[in-house]
Amino acid sequence: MGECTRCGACVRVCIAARQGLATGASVLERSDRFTCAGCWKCVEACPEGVDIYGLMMQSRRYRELPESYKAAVRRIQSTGYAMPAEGVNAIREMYGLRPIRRVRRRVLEKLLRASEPER
Amino acid sequence: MERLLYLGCMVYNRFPDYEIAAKAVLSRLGIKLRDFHEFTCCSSTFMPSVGDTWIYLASYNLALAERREMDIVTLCGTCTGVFKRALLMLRDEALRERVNSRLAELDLSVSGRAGVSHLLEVLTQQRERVEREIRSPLNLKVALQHPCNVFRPREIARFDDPVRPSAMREMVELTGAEAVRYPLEYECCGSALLITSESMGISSGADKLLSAREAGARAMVVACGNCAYLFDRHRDRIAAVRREAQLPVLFLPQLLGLAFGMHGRELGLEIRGVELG
Repeated sequence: MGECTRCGACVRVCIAARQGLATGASVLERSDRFTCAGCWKCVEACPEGVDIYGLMMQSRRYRELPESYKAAVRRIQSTGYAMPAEGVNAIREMYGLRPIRRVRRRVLEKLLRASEPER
Repeated sequence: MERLLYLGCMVYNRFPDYEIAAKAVLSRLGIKLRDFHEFTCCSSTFMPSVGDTWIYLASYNLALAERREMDIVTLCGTCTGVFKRALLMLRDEALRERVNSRLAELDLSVSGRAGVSHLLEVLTQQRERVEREIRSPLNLKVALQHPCNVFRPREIARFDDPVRPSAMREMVELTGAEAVRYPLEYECCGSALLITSESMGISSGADKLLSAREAGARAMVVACGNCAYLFDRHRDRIAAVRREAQLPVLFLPQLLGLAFGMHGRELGLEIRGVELG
């Protein structure tokens, strides 16, 4: 993986920057790490092969999550889905689609508990 | 041939017509999509943003597919990208063991043998069959919203050109419809911007719809629930910003189904009230 030279190639293709998000010479320098379309054009544009995805995710983990992220994470932890699931099966039935079976809480707790430290 | 249909939160939640049309069109091509109802969220952009546990959630879905001995078909870009990233990472034996020690508590295991393909990839593989099924060629100008994570980043997606993709255009042009070129064609729709900045998401959607409309498109064809969420579900808010930024939104299999001679009802067109002017 390469090092960022602050050439600005990532910013030039960034849709959030095009929509006015304040950014420095690199998408990895902006203070708002969450306003991102996740299109990863920046990854393709980087001439140095910087692991922008990995660095972006890592840096988010050290920041306070926006409320909308917190809500989605809470929904995933409690229902297994990022979007609200209430009333979905009634709609599915209306169109002849089989119901979604909600994943058991026990399964989610096992999948999402914090990782054991490396031994 | 049978595959498991991974709906993902966006499609099961909001777009039954995408599910209905995908099943109908692939069925015509000899591919039966099996329901996959015990799935969880793929992890989306949310879980990788908070820590490393996302790989367990993604692997759980892959493990369920392995248990049923079927490959997965996805309908959205994000799910496709997350699963493919997980599959690539699971090639690492140490990580695979770590994941499997946890999945073992649920009597599951993952080896990485269940393939993951987005609907567009499946259709591309079936190109000749698609061509043979065209019975009612369409006389329609459409714009394309290429589904970003189906071809980007390249080392994860391994499909199509990551910057100027062509698979969707090739598929759409088989129907007789003209895929107009427009200045913002290869830009992301910007739907995920809505998560933290509704105004940026709306403005991004307006830019794209306007660009497509000015190029003569009469519909926007999408192959991802996230793109439809912005263009269709936020149409009123987009119109409030830019009145003329309006286009009916068609899912790729709905367009193909129409060209196959299928009725609108078979493709769920009445569900969102899609009308092509």
